[in-house]
Amino acid sequence: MIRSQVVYSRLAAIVREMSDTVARTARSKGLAEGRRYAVAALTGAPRIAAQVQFDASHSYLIRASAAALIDYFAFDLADGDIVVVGDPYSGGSTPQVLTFLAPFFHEGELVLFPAIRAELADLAGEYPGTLHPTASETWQEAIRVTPVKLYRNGVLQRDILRFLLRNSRAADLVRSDIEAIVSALRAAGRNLDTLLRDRGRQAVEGAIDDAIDHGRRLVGTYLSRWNGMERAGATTIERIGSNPIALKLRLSAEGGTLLADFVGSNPQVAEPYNITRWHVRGYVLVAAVAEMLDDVALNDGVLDRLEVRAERGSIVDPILPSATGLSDLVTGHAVAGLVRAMLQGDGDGMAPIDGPAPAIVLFAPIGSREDNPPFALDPGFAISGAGWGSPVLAGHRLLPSAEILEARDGFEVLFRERSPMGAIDVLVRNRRGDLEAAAIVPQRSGHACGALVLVEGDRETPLDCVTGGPIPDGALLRFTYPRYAGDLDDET
Amino acid sequence: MTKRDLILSQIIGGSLNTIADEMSATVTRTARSPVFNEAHDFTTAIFEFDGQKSRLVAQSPGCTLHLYAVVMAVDRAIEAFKYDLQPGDVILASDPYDGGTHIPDLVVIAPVFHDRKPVLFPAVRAHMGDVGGPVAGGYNPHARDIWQDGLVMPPLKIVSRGERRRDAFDLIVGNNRLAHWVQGDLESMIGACGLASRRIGELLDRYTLPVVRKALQSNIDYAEKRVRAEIASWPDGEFSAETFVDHDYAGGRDIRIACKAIVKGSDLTLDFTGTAPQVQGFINSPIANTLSFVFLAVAGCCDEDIPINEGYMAPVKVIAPEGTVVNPRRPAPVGNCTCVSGAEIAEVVLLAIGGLAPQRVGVNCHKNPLAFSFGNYADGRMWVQLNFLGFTGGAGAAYGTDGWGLYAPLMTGVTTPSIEMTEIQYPSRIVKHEYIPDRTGPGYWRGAPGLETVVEHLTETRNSVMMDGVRNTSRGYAGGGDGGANRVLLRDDEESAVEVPEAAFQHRLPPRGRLETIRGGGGGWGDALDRPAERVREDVRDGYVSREGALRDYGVVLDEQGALVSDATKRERERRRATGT
Repeated sequence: MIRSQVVYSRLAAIVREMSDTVARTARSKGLAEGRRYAVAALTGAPRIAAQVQFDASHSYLIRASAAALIDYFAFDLADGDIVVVGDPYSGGSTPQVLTFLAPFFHEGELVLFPAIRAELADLAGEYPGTLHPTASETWQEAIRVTPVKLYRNGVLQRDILRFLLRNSRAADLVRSDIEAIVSALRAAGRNLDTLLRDRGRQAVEGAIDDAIDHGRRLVGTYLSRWNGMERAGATTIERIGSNPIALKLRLSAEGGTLLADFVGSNPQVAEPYNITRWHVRGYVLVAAVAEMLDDVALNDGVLDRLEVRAERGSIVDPILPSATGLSDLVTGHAVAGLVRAMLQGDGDGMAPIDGPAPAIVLFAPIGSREDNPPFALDPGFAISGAGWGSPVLAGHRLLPSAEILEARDGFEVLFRERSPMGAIDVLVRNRRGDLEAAAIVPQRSGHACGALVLVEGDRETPLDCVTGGPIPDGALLRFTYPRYAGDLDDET
Repeated sequence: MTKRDLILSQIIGGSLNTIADEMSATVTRTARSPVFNEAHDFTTAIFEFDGQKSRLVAQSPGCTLHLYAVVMAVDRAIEAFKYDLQPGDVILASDPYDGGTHIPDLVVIAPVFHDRKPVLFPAVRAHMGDVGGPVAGGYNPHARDIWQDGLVMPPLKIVSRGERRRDAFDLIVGNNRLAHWVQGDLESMIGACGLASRRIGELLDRYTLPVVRKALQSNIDYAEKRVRAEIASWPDGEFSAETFVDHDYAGGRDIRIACKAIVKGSDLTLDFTGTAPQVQGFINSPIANTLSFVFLAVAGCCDEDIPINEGYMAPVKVIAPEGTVVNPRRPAPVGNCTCVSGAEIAEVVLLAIGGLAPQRVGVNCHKNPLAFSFGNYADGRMWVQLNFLGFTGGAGAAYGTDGWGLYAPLMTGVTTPSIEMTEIQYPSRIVKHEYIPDRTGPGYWRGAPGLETVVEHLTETRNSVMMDGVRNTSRGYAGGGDGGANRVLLRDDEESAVEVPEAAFQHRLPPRGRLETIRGGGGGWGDALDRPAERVREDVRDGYVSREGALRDYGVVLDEQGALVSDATKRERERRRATGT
């Protein structure tokens, strides 16, 4: 068992190193600072042997995307290949998030798949970046990257890369991020080779099986507290200008496995609130096991403990080409909030993990320049329902320093404080030139989750749902990040 | 060159043209989209490659505006795969800034190898019903950059060594709302290239490559000689002209396209210096599109029996300053370049040449009231209809002939879809498709009459309309009058109709909603007061001109029964000539 632990730890270290390589070599702010990526090593089944993620939403998505790739390229995977997919309808979630999979061969046999799932800066669509709050189809949000081979036998497929880059307003960033990802995958392959030579294939596979068993038992034990539970609940996802979207859930548990049944939920909608079935699973899982996620290695054993049912064509299992771009910002929070509330029942002790907040992506006026990398300006954070700090679902992104925002990014932070109401208020001046923006302020219980206001002299314009709105040079952006904690432990 | 050589070059050139014709027939009969199989919005061609540059050597009459645009696309595709071309490869491309025009026009190219080298390239260029991006149908009047136009497709190998490259192929299909059409359409294009490859192989086996090359060179030389002879027949000199695009759908109005024609001996230079800088809206014309429309205008001035090949444009030099509407820089949007700016480019070239050789110009053009509709079939699959019937008409007059026919010559080869097939392929009914009076340019020879088309969609639809030719209508030549203005109405029901001022974006029409298009007629040629009065009377009888129009535009007086009143006509015409009214 100890030997198995040692071997598994080395495997997990290889996965962590992949993660560090991406963080240190990727050029885009989204990856280097926003940590909008996850890495994993998978078995051929595919099962997650080890995974590192900075954002709950990835939980099942690497596996689902890998499954789509392996299915597509069955009997056509060779040493040196790197295959890629980035499609909500091929194991994905939101557009522009690509999963790179590098089959690893040992002594001629396919053994493992190092994989990286990362949000790229831009892959076309109607507006630069990932935010398009009025999209009704996935093609408006970005191109679909259906399964493609980026490297064949170690040789770059130049036309495929050219295709990706030509369909990006941030081609340089995308290229360098792809290079960082490929380097990380290649390094992982070399490390895996060393591991397998040192320990042998049987020992590595055995260690993975042990770790998955261990994860399954740990999570099973944790979830067994709800054995026999059968609860029904519902919530709504509010959207500006339309009726709320109904989310219905029957939650039950048996034998340490949780069953989340979303049957009866709203049909898919013509706005980007739809969430794919793989994606919704991640939010349910994290909602259920948030308290123990930091104590358990994330692998297939953890993922196995959850079943989700949903109707095809519903908000939680939409059909192509429904848009899904707000599933992380809005819908996932609603799912997690509902699951937490239902698991808690009449008891207490489960702090909320959700907490949607305003979001804005800025870019140079569309058409004004060929290279137009979007900039996700996120200078504050919502106050978690648990008290201080951002909600679990906000992920592990780094809060940008005022100095960096000013010196490097062209945004002058005039004010960043807690308000008397306990929320975080931030005032930023745009010094980057005339810009345009896509923005949204999520809604909940009839209220906006915070506020985002454009201030030009005496005029204030709420940016509740904006696509391509002008943000003049010198204008102010006032962020109010909401506070979800009921009571604060300080004098505010 | 001996007589035998000349005959042989005719045989080989004719064979290649026949192969291009067979490609065209293959596409027509096997493609899925009505844009292909009914409207024939495609063209087929064959290129020779000498190791450095490709040369157009054969073509089949198709949608003419595609023809010269293929040339640059083929060169760019070869460049992209310079060291990676194999027998059996097929390349797909549609990047406006890499040899393309607008994104919906895809090019499929296949190298034909001989003695281990690519020597000839059959190619098909065709308009797809959709190309992903923000808007169904491939025309986004809100586009402000190329990515808002649609999916950019730089040269991509979709067949490698004869084997379908499934991932690349599916990448294209997966980014198309009309996957059920585009898959079949691409396969028909690949099939046509495959067929051509076999035929070309047989031709090379029969005649050998050196003989074929010599024959092709002879045909190219012949075409150049004929075009040079035409240009040499024009007087040396310079003439400048300008036309204006109505609007760019993004706030820009009356966007200038300037052209100076310079004739010196048998050389023609067309200089677009003075054209407006590139604009925000989606009417910018990539250089390949500009060259294509220049070719169309020049071809309109030459005898129709001149073979169309690389020699055709050899005497013509085009100066198109970078950063202007006629040669924009990435990422300017270009979606409507094949209609709006293309029409103006052809027109301004004709006007410029017309200043030197008026009897050789005319018969413009295609200022289309572009209106497309989309909806869903009963099984949920999407359809896109480009409403080709509404574009028909608009041809101008030329020296010796009135404007005629349903398609303007720039669209020659595109066929008017049959009304019956349209009603089978779409949940639509064609309620009206007929000439209307007084919307054509008067002249000694008049333009084609205006045309009214009413399409009723039986199911709910969304309709986007991009007006053109409203303020700046088709121009007349040599003193002929300008054509009439286009109009489009979107009608919910009998009581409720909206006239589209510049553009409509995804206007929702209920079931049985109607799209009503009034297509302005073409420009006239020559002085309308010189048109024989009897022919004006016939126009009135045919319903092309009203009795009032006959008097207003031609000075022809008809009585209430439509009979010509000769004395009054003579007096009226003399009075107008004397007063210059």
